[in-house]
Amino acid sequence: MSKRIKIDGSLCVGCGICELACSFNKVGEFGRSRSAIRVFDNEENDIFPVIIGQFTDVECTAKVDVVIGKHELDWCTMCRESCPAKAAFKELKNTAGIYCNMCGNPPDPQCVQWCPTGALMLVES
Amino acid sequence: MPEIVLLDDGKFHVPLNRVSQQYEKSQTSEEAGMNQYIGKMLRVDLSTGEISKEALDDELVQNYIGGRGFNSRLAYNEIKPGIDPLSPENVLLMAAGPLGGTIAPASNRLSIAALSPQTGILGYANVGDSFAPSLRWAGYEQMVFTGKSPEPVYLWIDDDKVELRTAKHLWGKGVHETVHQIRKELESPEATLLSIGPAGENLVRFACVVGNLHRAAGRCGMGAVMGSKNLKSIAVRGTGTVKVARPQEFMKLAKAAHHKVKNSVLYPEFSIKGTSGMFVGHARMGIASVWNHQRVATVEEISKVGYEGQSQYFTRSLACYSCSMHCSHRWAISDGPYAGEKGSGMEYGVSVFLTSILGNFYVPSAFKGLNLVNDYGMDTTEFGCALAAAFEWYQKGIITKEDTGGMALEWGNYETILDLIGKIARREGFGDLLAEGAIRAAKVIGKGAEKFVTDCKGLSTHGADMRSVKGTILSLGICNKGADVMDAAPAAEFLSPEERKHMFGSADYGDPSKYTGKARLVFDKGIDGMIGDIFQICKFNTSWAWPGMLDANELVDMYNAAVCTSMTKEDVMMVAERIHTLERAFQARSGITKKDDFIKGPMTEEPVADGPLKGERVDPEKYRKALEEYYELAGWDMETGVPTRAKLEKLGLGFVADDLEREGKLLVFR
Repeated sequence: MSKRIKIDGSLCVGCGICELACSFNKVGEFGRSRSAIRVFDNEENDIFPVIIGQFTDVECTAKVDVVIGKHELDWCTMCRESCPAKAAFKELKNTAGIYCNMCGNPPDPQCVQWCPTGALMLVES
Repeated sequence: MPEIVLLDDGKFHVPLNRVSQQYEKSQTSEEAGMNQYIGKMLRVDLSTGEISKEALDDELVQNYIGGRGFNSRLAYNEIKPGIDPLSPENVLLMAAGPLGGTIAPASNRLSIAALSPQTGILGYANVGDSFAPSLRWAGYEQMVFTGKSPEPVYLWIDDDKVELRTAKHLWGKGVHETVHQIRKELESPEATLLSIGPAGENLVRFACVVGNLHRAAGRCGMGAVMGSKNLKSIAVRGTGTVKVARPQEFMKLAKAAHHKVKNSVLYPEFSIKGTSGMFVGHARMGIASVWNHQRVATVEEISKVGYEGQSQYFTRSLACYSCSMHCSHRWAISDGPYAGEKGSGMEYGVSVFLTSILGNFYVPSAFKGLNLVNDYGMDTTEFGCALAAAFEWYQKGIITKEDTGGMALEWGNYETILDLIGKIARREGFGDLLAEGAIRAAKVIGKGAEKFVTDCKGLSTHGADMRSVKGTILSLGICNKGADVMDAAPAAEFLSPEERKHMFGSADYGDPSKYTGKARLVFDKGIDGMIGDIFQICKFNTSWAWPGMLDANELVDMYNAAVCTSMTKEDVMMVAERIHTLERAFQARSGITKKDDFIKGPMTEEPVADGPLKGERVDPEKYRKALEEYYELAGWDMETGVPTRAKLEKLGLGFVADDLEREGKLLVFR
């Protein structure tokens, strides 16, 4: 039975504590740039953490918009891939290798441990 | 005789290293290996465009720790009291805290200080959001802006690369457009900014500095100082990290600190309501002012504009960076004249000055007003107090439509209130007069207009009627920058007698109607607040807000684990007293003395007109006695209110005593 991190964007308050817990777990220091989880905020109704997948060095061609409920969202914002087209992941080109590994085996994701609102939960797949 | 270096251009420079003559120097930062944990200072000479980076001075770090401590010490060093705050001689200081950018709770704040265009003395303000963490990730902790740029510019801090860029195309634009445009042209959507809007550009005396789109370093006109320097914005992108000296220990302490906050008595309500939860309590007490303190609001009225009225428009909770309290909100208005308006925030300190004090109980108009003040970049406290005075002048016939350019300043008319935001920011017509603030506007109008303005040291007071809350009114009187309720108002005074009995064992503790014992409460609270300001932790996570939250114990432990020091709680409290006393001495050099610790205006000179506290007033003799008790605790001279030589020397500030003596501000024989 494998585990995954369930994200409830409606509970995300944009505190960024997940970013700090993650970067600390990865490199023992604090900084969003070393975190495998990034909180995206479109300054409208949407704030949600995106967990970075494997590093990719090319932009994809599947740039479509997504409709969730009443909101139209730019798919790029939500995409997990650490894509060079995404400004927030630009510096990963220099530090390739930062992606989520659930903080090890067995999974003990620190972002879930530290999230103050329950927006991040560890659940069975 | 201490050495003062007088420079040719009239500035004077007091070498920082004189401090070391007064007391023992401990290990240097380098010896302790501290440098890798502490950010650098960024110095920007806007006149020449020269940018330099320096390691923070050892003495500064060891004796002032960070944040407001750094700013106040540097201000003492680099700003000459009495200069025009809107001249290039003023120095604009900005400091993150030593825990900024880490997972320490709510360690996101940035302190901003300069001589205030509103008061003429040292002013300071504070902003949250994510600027300070980004600044620290970029490797900096302190910024010093001197001079004036010949053309509008913005500063771009991109990790190591720091440059001034033209802002000519941004001048005149609101904060909203400025932030989006700068992010676009820098191709950095994640850049975090501090900006001014038209209010700062037009030197509105109470213009503020806006953090991203909706946070503000509100008070004392720091936005006007930026405007006077042609500095439109500061953008930062930090892709580095903050290291801590003892990582595992630090994490353990930070986790315990977050738990302490979440398990505090304050958390359940504050994490949902934020500061707007305060309205109803004030109305129940009988202190929710209406019509410039002419009457008080009922609970029913105030519920329309407090949390109870606001919450229907909230769409989600919102936090500043690294804070688990998440006391702010996103909101959207879907009906009425302001349908379509959306944004973030709604603090008590915004709503009260757009609604109840002006007799306006239509809360959607306050949300619209919030977006306007954020975009124009203006402090709501001074805005509200300027309007409150002006509306009373109009009510009493001291001014007429002829003075106001045809506007009828009628209580509760929210269209007029909102209209005046733009007029003041653009200095149009009557707005040009109000842009000077209530006190200066009153002087220009004459005819007894000054009688209707309540202020201390040139800063306007709170939106609530504090004449019945004796500790709080004392705190407004002694606050170093002027009447600011975020300084030292004892929390106990706002509890009911039953709550006080339950929390403190006796209903007498913190009884708002009494003066006895208040000097002690106010002094202690001031130290609590200063400690929050030193570490740049949001005060609402600390014991300043409520007993049982983070205090010097937790903060010094995290600090030691972060920067490899071994300070004690007592060391931190001494640093807090040192900064507090230094600021007071700086103000004394501008002529601030005991006479300036009395609040002027109807709030303190008249009795409460109605409500549960009808007839209550400030007793001048009892107030004076409480003030003098405060002076005793603080080590300030009983007659002048100036820190004594004995106190200054005890805090390692003998050179300050020398300055005061030389300038005739210190009574030599005490």
